[in-house]
Amino acid sequence: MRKYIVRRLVQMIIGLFLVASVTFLMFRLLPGDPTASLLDPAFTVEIRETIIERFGLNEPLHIQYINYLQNLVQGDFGRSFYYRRPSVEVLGDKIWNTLILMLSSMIIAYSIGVIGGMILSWKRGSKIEWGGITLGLFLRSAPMFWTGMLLIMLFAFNLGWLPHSGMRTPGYEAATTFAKFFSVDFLRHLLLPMITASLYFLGTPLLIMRNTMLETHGEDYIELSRAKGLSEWRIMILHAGRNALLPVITAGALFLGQALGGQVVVEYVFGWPGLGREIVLSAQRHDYPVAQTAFLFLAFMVMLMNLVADLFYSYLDPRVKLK
Amino acid sequence: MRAYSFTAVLVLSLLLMLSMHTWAFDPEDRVKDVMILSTTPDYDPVRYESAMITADVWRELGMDVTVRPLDFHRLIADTRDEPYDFDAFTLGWSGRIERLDPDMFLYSLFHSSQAMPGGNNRYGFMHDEYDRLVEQQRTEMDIDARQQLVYEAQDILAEEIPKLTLFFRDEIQAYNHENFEGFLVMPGEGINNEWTPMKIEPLGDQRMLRIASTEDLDTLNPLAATTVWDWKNLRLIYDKLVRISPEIEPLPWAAESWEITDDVVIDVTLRPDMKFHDGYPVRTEDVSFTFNYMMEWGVPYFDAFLGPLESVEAVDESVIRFTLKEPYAPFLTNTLGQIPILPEHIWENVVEDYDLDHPEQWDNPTAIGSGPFAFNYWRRGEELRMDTFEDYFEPASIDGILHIVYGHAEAVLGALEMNQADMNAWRFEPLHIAEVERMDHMTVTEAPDIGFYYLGFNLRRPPFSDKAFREAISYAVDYELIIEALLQGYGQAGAAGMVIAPGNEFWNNPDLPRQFLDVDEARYRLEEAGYRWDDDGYMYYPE
Amino acid sequence: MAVTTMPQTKSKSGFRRSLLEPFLDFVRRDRLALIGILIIVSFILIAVFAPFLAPHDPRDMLRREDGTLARLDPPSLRHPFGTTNLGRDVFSQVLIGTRAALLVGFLAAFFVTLIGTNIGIIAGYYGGWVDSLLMRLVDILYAIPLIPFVIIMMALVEPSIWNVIWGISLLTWRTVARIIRSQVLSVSQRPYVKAARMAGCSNFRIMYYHIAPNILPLALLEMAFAVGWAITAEASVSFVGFGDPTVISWGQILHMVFLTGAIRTAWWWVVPPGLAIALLLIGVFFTARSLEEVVNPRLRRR
Repeated sequence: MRKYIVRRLVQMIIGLFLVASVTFLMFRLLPGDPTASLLDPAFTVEIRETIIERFGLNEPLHIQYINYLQNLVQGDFGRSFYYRRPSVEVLGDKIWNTLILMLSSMIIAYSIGVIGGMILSWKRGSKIEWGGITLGLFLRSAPMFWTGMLLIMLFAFNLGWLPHSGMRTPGYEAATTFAKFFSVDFLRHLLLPMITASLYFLGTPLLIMRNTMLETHGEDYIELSRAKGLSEWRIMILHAGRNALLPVITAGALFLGQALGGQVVVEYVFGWPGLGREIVLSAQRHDYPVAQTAFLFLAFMVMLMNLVADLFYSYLDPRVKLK
Repeated sequence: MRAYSFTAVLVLSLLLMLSMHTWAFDPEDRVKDVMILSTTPDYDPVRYESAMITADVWRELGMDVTVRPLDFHRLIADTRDEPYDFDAFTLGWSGRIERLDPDMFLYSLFHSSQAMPGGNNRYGFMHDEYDRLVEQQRTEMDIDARQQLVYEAQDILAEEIPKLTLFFRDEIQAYNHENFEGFLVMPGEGINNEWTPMKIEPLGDQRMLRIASTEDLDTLNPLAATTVWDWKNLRLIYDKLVRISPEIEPLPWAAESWEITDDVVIDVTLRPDMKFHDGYPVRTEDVSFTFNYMMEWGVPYFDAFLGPLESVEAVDESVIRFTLKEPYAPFLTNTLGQIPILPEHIWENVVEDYDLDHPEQWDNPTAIGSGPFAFNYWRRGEELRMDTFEDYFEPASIDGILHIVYGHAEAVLGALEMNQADMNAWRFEPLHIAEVERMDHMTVTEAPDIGFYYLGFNLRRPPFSDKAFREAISYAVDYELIIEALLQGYGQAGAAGMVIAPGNEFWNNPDLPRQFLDVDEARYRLEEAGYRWDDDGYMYYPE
Repeated sequence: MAVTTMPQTKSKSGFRRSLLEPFLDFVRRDRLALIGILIIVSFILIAVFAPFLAPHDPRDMLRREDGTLARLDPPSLRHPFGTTNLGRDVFSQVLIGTRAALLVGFLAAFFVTLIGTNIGIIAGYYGGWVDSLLMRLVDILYAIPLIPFVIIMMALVEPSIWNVIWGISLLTWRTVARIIRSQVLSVSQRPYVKAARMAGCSNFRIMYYHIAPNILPLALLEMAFAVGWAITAEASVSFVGFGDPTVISWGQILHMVFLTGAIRTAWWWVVPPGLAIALLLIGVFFTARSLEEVVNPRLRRR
């Protein structure tokens, strides 16, 4: 077990190294001036050269690459062209904002989705199943940014119930970090983006749960339980449900990667100061160090979640041996 | 057999027709592949759509035009560097306060020394007479003589047409008149100028001025700040020797007075009894330290203003002597009017204490200056709070300023509507102007811009290397439609040669000729210059 | 010789018997699949005939009868979906936008399937270090989120619809490759593949003659899903402003609503393009779902 985790961690480090290299090369090799964002259009040629030198961008590519990797190892992810401060600091707070939004919507989507999927599989062939599948597919089809816009139009502009953007009301007083994240004001701001994301996420667990439940219906142990005279409800929850959870969790872990990426548009629509919005901003500003670091962070989170999912998987299903 | 000969005759006659056609109009001579570079509509829909509208008129003239939208940074780089592969481009210069001085727009944009790769003379405009004029205006310390030189330079630009100014955009902003009164409107700055927070009076319980912005701040370090947004706050935290008055004239501020001897030595007397926010006195040594420190380390944003300085020294407790390498006309407004005074006791050891390569890397967490407002806190990406500095020589009436960052323009409008903000930091989206006019508690203000949006030409290659062509084309731009459709009427039409906005009254040459859309005039002028059209209406170069 | 021809005939008719016929059969019985196909076909028709169907040039700034710009006109007979802030006809824009969606969807899905299937076959067939190298690559690609990747890429290269397609394809093949590989692993164990190997057929022949036809249904299913992802990705990237500005797409229309601040007033400019995306994707997913039930019979209803 410990060996397995160590091996996975080593794989992760190699993976991160490759992602770092790929993004580094992408930013340097694709057309586009890496210094553009550093430079005010009004600067003269001489000033441009000094700034380029200051950021080490005048060195040959391989030297820049080695420098970049050396600094990475020392925990220096580079200095933002735009904010002029370490990119890790720029992204530091943003990660929490992203995680809060994503995890809360994932939890809601998966709780509803798993239960809904069970019900659909049991109601096979009925109108409920048909409607449930259609709904699940529709939710997965409606783009998140559009759902978000509709919710803003309805709940923020027409009804005026909820704030349409941001994370907190300006000028708020918060004594502790805890109070910053668990105040009524924060939750009110969280509600619309969270609903938007969960509606979109909901389709996947709903449909996968239904499908895998259907697959378990024919299994021997279900038939056996039925023969034993256990109630349908009990069979559904305890036996079929438990086994059907496995693929849902695997899919969920893989889906997290997509969710992290897809959440960009939700953060953009709701002005949510998260990692995704920062990626869009850094792309607009050509702030390479921030974009590169954000990419590394995302990759790290996805890899970590996959690892956690695998461990969880082996815990739930003892038949799966980690090797 | 008959069919064969018939086909042969047909093919032959077709070939003949084609060759005759070619003889009159060599396809090589067509005015084709004319490329207009533009920003993406995401960066600025107005610039992109202006290019599209212009391309439509040019197509009507028989040119083959493509509009190529590029990412803003790409566009900046591609129009500035080799191989200069474009014919025209739409860009804009924002009207920062220091650009009230005509030097930047006249010298950096059109002097031939700026036409090399990396320079801002993107047009490749070379004109000896013009070079002489703008060099002269730079060192002319007599303001009326300088005005004359500046007028003449504009005349040359109007005649040579390296670019066409498309429009000057009005800055439409609004403030809550139930909470505050006494807002000042300045050209280029609108109501978000340095005087507004110093001069307005609170009317009720809301004593904190809340400014809603869509622009995030990037730094509070004056050596690192490069955006106008940073400076709008930094100039309130840090004081300056000279401030530009609401009537756009240099006003002694932290300086009590100045005295200019033989154009290159300026003695500035410091206002007595000023304090930094941490209680230390503001000394002449702090001023000389600031200028020498910036010159020593290099501050790109101020490079043009610091360049003409030979030396800066504190003569005694009240006088600082600035010595220039050569006379520099924008010295008072730009050098003294833009550079903030730093406290020496905080900055002198920053590099050693924090082990930095350059002081611009310091995050300056407490931002101590001697300005009218003192830094309180900054929640990055959310808000910046500054409180009124009560020990200031003219303390403001309000309690302080909250600069609030919103995710997008929609949110700014909502904040104004819900009384969560008192004014906006920057102009409204055109569609939002009508919305804010409907709000009873808001007053809408209008200020002329001192920057401009323009259509630049590449004078290095045909067709725009031909002056007659450029003259004709100045009538093939729909200035009115751009303002009507894209700005909803909130702007003024431009013309050739207009780089100094009409809002910048002193320097703007009011006698420049104006152009307007007139396709027949354009066609007539092209015809005069020898351009030709084939039966399909395509335009060809003169033989 | 007989050994090698046998699987060939088997797989050809196998394709019809294992996928096409059950699928058609399904479409006849399954209402969802029928609806899905009808939706896709109608969108294809709209895309083909869009220039004839659109009442206006989608870029024209239209004017009202009194000569003023038809700015933000609500839906009317003349403008079924109203107009934009510059007086452009939303209905015509949505119709033309179908082309971009289908182009990106189908083309990207095609590339994704092409790359993914080939890599999956190679990895599964050769096994060993080839397999682990390719699968580690897939693992790493899995760690890169699609939409941020395309956004950053579009900021670096010229914003064109082809670059959006490349961006999507470069990354999304990972899913197909992984699924195809595991299928290839099991197909490789089948007797006729072993036989072909013993008969000395070339690797290339075994991979593309004997194995490929058996994984085709699965590849098609993955392609259907890829269409869905590609359309969503293009819409998202255009929505945040990194799409091709010269091509009208649904995401871009929504981007303009958002950018100009019209979302407060112009619901007619917000609802249609989003509904079009949702509708097309539903069509794709309905179809994919019935394909899935064909590929995986255990999902079928009894």
